[in-house]
Amino acid sequence: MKKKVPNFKAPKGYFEGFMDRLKDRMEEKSSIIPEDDGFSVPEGYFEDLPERLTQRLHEPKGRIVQFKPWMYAAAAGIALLALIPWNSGTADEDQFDLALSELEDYWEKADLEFAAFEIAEYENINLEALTVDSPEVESEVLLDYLDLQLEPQDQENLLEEDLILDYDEEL
Amino acid sequence: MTNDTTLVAEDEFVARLQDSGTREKAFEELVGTYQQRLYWHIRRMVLDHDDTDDVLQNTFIKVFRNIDSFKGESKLYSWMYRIATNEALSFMKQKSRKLGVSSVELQEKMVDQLESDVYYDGEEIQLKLQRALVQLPEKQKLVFNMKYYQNMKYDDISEVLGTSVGALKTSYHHAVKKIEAFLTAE
Repeated sequence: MKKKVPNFKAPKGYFEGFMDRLKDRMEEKSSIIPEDDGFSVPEGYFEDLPERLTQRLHEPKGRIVQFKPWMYAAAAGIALLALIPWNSGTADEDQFDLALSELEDYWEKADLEFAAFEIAEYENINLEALTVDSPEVESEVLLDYLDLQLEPQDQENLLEEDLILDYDEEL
Repeated sequence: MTNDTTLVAEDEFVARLQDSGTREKAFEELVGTYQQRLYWHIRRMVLDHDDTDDVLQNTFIKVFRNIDSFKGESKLYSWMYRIATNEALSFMKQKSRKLGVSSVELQEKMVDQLESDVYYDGEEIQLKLQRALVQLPEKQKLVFNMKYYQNMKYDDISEVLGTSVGALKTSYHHAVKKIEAFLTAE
């Protein structure tokens, strides 16, 4: 059976330059999104900043309590003790409730997190080395696979989780 | 050749930052070089100028006090961008905790306050843009701002965020589509 040849033609070199043109379009600025987002700074702000920073560096640091890993363990132990329902019969329930609410309040508001480079100072480990150099599946292949298998919203959620995890690992 | 020269120059600069005899002078140069880039990166996350000033100063002070732990396995600027990003995210988290509101509620409130901010010259379309950005996941917003407003290359964003260029392109594409849809909606 004779194979039909399409009557359409593409300009010479069209496909060679297609990828570059596609990339250019992806990089293009949107015609709807404004190029200026409207933020401004006080006059002379950037001229003054280095001097203000130098002044801050020479200020006394004040008393800084350096948290050690055992302190976190101790704090967690105290919190667990407070959560045990004691049956002594003589405990003042109001007092217990107050203490518990204070603890909950503290737990809610206290900033117990610290950055990875601070952890590295204590543990003497190189966090920059904790990355996978040669993943078995190339990320592009994985993304193509996800494109086929997942709904757009699920893809976004997955990417979001991945990115947030990266923060925690990096810093 | 250029890359080698740049890397050598950066190694030498980091050595000056890590040497207590040359640290302060090198730090001044560092601030002069990066203050504007880091300022705009933080400003687009925390919106208010005074808050940005606090976060920016804290970022540089952390850089100064932790420079000895910098091992040179990533570029200096990407290490600083990561510190700045973390500082800004922590700041917003603490602020929402203090006010007892969710992260999105806080950002909506801050966008409302932009209208009376003396250091904000945006008009209706810029305010609408900020409202659109509040709707985005934090990471998409970051990628969008770094690409669209800071004109950063994907390779550089990738080094800062530790995410593949492919994933960043997808993220940016989703962000632009969502913002455009928001801006054209009634």
